[in-house]
Amino acid sequence: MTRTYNISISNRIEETPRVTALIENEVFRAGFPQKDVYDILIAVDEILSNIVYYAYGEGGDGRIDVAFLIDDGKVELEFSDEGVEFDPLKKKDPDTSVPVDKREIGGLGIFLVKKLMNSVEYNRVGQKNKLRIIKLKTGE
Amino acid sequence: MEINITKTNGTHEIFLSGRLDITWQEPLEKTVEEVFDENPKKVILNCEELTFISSAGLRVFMKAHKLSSTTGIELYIAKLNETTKKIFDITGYLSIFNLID
Repeated sequence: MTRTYNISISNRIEETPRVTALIENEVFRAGFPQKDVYDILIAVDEILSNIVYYAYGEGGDGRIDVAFLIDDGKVELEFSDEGVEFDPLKKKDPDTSVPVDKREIGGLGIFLVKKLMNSVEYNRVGQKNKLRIIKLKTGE
Repeated sequence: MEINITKTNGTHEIFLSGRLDITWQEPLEKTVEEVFDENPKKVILNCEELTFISSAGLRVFMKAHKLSSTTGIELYIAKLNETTKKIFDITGYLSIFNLID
């Protein structure tokens, strides 16, 4: 069975728990193991923070739309915003062989998203940034 | 999440419980700064009850690491669980901290 959901928030950090709470409840209810739920919540936190901080410029008002679907084997989420064009996947991965305190700043969040999700895809569609992530259910 | 602090004999232990996500980055950073400002001998970030951490949380740990390097106050991370340890491991943060059980 496939269920689909949509939720929109304004681009403020204090709004993000509305999204994470909905996703957490529904993914858990669909029978995904707790560790998958946490992986997804971490990815969602990274993506929403990026959009809030960078998409609309400092203090700029904007909206973030999150659509997701859950079926027996996977969760697919799509994040859309109408901010400046930004493909987070172009960011180079942090060099994890370099000591953390000597690394260049940034890129850590999207790196985690790539590591925790099975697929991450960016598209610019009209005036929108669309980031789609997929998490496959971990076998028992 | 919840943040609790105990202070005994120059050791200040910060107990983190719940989810360290973007909404908690600023409040926790403030707490960490305040604790280092009190100039204890040792600071422990106790993660036993921490259910998850995103990069926002890692940045606070990094901040604590920098404060420890500049002040000479010892810093330890206690009781990382499987979920949080994974995030430290993937990002390479595990190796720079003193971990204790």
